[in-house]
Amino acid sequence: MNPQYASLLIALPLFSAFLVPLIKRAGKKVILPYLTLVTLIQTGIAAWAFKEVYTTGKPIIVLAGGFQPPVGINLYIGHFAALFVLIIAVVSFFMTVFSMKAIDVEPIDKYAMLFLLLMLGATGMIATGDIFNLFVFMEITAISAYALTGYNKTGEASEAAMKYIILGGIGSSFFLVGVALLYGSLGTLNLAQIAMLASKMNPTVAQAALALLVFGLAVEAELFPLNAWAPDAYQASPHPVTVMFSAFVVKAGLYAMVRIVYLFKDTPAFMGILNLILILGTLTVVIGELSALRQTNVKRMLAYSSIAQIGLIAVGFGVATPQAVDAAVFHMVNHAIVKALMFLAVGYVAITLGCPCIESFKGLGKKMPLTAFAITVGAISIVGIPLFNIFWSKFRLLLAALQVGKTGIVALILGASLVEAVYYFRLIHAMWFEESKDEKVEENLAFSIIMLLLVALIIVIGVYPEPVWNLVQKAATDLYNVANYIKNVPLLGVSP
Amino acid sequence: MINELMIIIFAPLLAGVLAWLLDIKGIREAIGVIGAAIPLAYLIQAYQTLSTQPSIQYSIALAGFKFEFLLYQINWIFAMIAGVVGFAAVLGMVSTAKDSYEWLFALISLTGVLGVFLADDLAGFFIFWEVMTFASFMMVLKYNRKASLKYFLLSVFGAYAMLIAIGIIYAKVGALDFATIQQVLYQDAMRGAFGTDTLFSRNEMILVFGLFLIAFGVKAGMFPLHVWAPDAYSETNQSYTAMFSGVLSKAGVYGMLVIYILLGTRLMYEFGKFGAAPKFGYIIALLGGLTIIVGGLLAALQEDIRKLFAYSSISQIGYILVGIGVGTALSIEAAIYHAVSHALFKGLFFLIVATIIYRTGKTEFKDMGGLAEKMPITFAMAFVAILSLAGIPPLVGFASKWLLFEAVIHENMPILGGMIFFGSAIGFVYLIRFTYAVWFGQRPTDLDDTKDAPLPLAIAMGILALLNVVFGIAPGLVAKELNKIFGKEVIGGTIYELNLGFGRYNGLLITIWLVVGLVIAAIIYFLGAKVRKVPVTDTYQAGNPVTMEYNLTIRRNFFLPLKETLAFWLRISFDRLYQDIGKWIEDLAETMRHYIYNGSVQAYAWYLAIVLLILALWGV
Repeated sequence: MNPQYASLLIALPLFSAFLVPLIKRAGKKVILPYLTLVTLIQTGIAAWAFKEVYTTGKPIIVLAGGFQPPVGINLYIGHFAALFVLIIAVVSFFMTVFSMKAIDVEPIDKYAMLFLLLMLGATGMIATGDIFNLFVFMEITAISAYALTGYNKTGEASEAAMKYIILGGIGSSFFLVGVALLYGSLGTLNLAQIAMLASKMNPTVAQAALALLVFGLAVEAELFPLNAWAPDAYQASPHPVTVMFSAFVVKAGLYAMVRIVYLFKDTPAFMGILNLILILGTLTVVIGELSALRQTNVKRMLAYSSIAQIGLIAVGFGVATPQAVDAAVFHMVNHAIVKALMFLAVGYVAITLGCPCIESFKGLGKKMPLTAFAITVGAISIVGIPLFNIFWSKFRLLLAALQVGKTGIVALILGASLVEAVYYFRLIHAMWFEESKDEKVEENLAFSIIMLLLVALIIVIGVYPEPVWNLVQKAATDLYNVANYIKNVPLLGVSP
Repeated sequence: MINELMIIIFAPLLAGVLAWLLDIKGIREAIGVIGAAIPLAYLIQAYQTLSTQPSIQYSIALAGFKFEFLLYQINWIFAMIAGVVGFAAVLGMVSTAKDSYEWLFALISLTGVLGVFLADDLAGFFIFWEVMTFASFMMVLKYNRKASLKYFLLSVFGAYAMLIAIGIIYAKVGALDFATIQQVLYQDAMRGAFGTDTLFSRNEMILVFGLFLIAFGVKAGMFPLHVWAPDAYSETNQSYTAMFSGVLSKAGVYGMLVIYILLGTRLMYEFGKFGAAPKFGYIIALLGGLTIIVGGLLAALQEDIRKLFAYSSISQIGYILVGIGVGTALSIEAAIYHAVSHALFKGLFFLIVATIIYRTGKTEFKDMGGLAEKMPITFAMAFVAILSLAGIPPLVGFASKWLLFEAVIHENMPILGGMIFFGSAIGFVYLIRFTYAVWFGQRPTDLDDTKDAPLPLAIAMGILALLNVVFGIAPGLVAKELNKIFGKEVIGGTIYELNLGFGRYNGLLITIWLVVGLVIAAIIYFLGAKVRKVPVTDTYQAGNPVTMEYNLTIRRNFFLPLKETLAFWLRISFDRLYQDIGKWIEDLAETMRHYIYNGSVQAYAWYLAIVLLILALWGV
């Protein structure tokens, strides 16, 4: 197949989103199945791209309109993008299934559109090879995310959406200023070319531009203290949307940040910005974990926990040795799996029993045994118990930190795990060993299958991490090996 | 053919998962028992192999790591402890386990502890350590959240301390397998001795040692990290506690030995000796001595039999630590000997407690009494266990304690010696209470229908009691295996006799004299000794009349005077200290969250502004 078909990854959700009003004429019942179909096709394409990239070992470069970059705009689906586009598509597919039960607020057609746009935006952010397009995709993601946050139309949801809009808006404006600075001094928007020219740039301008870009993306990547919108937004948005936020929207932001920062590897600004990421990441972990400690709303607790995990990933990127980047990407994948499972299960409990507060979880082991089991496995995994997937990524991160002699980071990771143990095991105890008067609930078959799939994935990676670890190493190489990145993009007028 | 070491380690895990999945009453018990019997059988078989070759080695590659396993003399002994006591505990669980959840995690923890003993690299050691901790935590979580969290947090704290130490070693040495680390550190010590620069600085050695000490101290229940043990041991299935206290705590002891094996030479070079003992070892020994005293005193003050034995267990581990800390060949052998005997008698004790709770449903002294008549088999077992723990010949407890005394006294260490003697004395104090209050005296009427131990528990107790007696009468059996560790005759003598050169103990001879004495006593009794009836209240008031205000019977507040004497010391509690710290952190976190995520979007926008300002100051 012609690699150019990979552009369908962007085109399909976009056109499908525009088709939603037409589909609506066929009846409201068709919309969600339509959504499922689209994401299924998207998953198929993503799987094909994934296979293509990992078997040939070469990235897929899609040239828009056949123009060569930097004149034309290109998509760059390397090892990293291929892996994450697939994760995005699969998670989205699962969430369409979940939406059938979880979404009962009208207008469902708008929900479907926004859903597709959110998926599109995140895919685009990861796949694009052009910094202005990155901005566009970021805006698509952010705006659909604002709207989805407020979708439930409660006061709480509107307030959360409002906070998100204000903070996100400030962030993206500064990002745009950063892009303008870059364009002004380099005359290009292509990421590969920026990387090539970065060392020739005026260091002060480079530093300013980089600072602004990181600042803008840190809002999306939920780094402290720019993440204040996140707990509210996670809590208020519809359950499937929360899953998407945690599993890939935030990761797309983090990826974009890391990609841009690593492009400036050879400039003097690089070390400074890494230190900044390290500090922000550390603060994110500490504040996130501590905030989760006394939450009585389980969904909000997970939100804080998710923020903290993102902080850990950022710390990994901040260390920036190949081993640390490997570990960070591994943690990204593992966290996407585990948090997708957790938010799905908690959301399912919330719609079945009324609210995601801790009271619903008392005696959940008797009421909804399978869901409780899934949450338990997820919780154990996050805490970092061996034979579960997150143990390996935390362990890799530890080793990476030790190799560069950063014992502080080791203490951070381990301290975070201790705090996680406290609040997750409280939850586990509430689920299995506290009594509740409610009756047993019939669990939905489709959700059970999805949850079991994710649980199986957690355990398989936990027991046999090698295959995924190999994939992840390739994906990480794609991130930090910038020279290779430049070489892979066929730049017009530049001899390789 | 799958490697036998893998079978030894993973058979319980597999059985546990199977039992959990099938969850059919009868079958899951059978699978569980088989799962615990397989490692034991293979370990016994491995004894043959080990007599022809020094070790059995195996390695697998997984997740980019090479995991090494090695079975040789020292860890064979520890693995046998796990095999025997684990098997007995699992047999006990046939009677007392309520559901498949307990089977799953009890067997996983057995896998974990076997893995810890057999691992020959730090990565595998750590992973199995965590598996063991986690599974045992799940066993406690089911019964009591607070106790389990305390256990888990302290254990994980310890495990992470170990992880950091492992990381430091890995960063310097570049390998994780024991052989390389041992070699590199040995060379490092040599380098230091010749005055060249060493790989590890003095501070790094202190750090690594301290971290390992915390890690293994937590698991062994060493003072002041013991606070989890009384709660965790008592708040779970008591059959499982036989394994928990008998085997899992030995992982901590084994860890201390690993410190010697890996770091011993280097630490000895860095810090020198204190008398005959290495200085770092003396720290272990001193903490061990304090553990004996603290554990023993607190055991005497308990009103709940589970707690009494939990504290007693802590106290006994103290002995082992003293032996390891003194660090001579004799003292280490004595320590391992005591590890064996502690596992045997404490395993037996907890099975007895399990039986009592299973049959009566009671756990406190005030509800018990006169059970000897109703539960003769269990009482016989308890008799063996009590004599063994108290260190009365001809039981195994005497042999190992005697060796420890000799080892410590021989090195002229009066402080440690005093601590051990004190511990023995206090051992009598709390055992008296258990003996009298549970088995003799008036029986509460609601215990009149109590039946004796169920068959599986009786078999389990029988196995352990038999070994208590056999290893007591023939202490040479154990000594012979211990001598193989050092490859020379540290403890001389025959099967029945231990001969140290400066002291001798003959188990068989004492047994014979004891039997003769008993026969004579029996003859006198049957010839017609007068029986004198003693009222229950006539215990130890030394002639003072018993008043209702100060009514200390054996079943209630028996050691109140002791408690009053110790009142000042009892106010110092590490348990409370840790709890206060935990609460303080949580309060602080909540306050902080309240101010940072205060819900005001203006404040959040200010955060953005501040970050921007910082960015600007930083270089723009």
